[in-house]
Amino acid sequence: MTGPPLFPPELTTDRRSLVRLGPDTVRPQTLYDYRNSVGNASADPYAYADDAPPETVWAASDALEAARTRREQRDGVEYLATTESASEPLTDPTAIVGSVDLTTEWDRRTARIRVTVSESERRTGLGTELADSAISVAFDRLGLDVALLDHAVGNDAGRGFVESLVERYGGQRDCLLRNWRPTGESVLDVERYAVTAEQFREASVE
Amino acid sequence: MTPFPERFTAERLRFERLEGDAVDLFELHDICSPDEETESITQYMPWDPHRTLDQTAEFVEWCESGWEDGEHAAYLVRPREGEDGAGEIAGVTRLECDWDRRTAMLELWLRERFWGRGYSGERAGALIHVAFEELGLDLVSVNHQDGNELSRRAIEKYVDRFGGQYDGLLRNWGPRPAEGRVVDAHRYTISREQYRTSSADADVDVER
Repeated sequence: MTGPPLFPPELTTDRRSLVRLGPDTVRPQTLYDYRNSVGNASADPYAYADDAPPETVWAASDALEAARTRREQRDGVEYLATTESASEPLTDPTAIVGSVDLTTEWDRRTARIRVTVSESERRTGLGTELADSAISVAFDRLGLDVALLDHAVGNDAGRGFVESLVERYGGQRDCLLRNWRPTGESVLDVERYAVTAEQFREASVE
Repeated sequence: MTPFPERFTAERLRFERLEGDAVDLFELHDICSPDEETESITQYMPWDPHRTLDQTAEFVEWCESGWEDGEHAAYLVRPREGEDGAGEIAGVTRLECDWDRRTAMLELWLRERFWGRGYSGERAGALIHVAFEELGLDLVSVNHQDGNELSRRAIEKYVDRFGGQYDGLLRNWGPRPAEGRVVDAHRYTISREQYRTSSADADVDVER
């Protein structure tokens, strides 16, 4: 039983196709190569994911299955931005240029959004396109009320990126979350920002 | 075995682990069942008055399993001898541990007749002491629902005393399914370093 498809199988931005992460769309070896080329996302100024890259292709395969389970349980979804057009499953790790992750907190009517952009695509507007897509899904398709974005304290590039998004959507910084993101050796402080559905609509983001 | 202390005392308050053997279920149910006083307690809390004894028993079981799993420690709060209402259940306080985040979150509800005595701050001091000195955690957090002015004043007072700070708004934080809404909350934190440099004395005696 998988129920009706809550999260669209594909999305498009102005310049990129977004494929929903899962065993049907990406080969384990491809995900393994991509994640390890990005490195530990928590150290990436444009990244908001906590997960370390998979240590083996087997672990990447598990991650793909976990992505499918998460999606089927309506807990969240991740999309990969690719330069390839609909050649599924993705086989070329260098064709993946970013990702956007949407976690649902249904009882809070909230979505948490995290964006990662490959080095080659930074300052091209791709990060904003990815965020636009995910937040549109959160508000217009899923009917949630709030989208959350965050960055680790001290991550100035991440702060600049999130602040520009929040300004674009008419949102605001809400809270410092001390000891929020465990990284193994330490626990990072995080700055949280929020955009409401109303703010997003008033901002008329296309 | 969990690291939570079973019993400890502060200047005017005694804290006992909330478990089936330590609490009179009927007494606790009386306190938690719907009436004007309970409504005033739960107005800004994430729980509703207990309509059946079974709900109170479930609450006690939840406290017991949280204790065994090391996730949260719930204590009955009783005034000590010399206090008005000594020995009665004045309320329940919890210390919720997020070990990955090295953080303890404080929670409290007090019966209305015990309000206005400064028990909230005294209890906070005791739990903060337990979190830092007994459990080795790095941060204590406390939230109150947006609009709960009594809690805001009590929290601001003891957070300031222990050197902590207001961190901001938690939008859509508390689901209230019975009311069909999600409420905002405000978050405050005190780090171990802030606590130690505040030189505020919590005056806690932990039974070994």
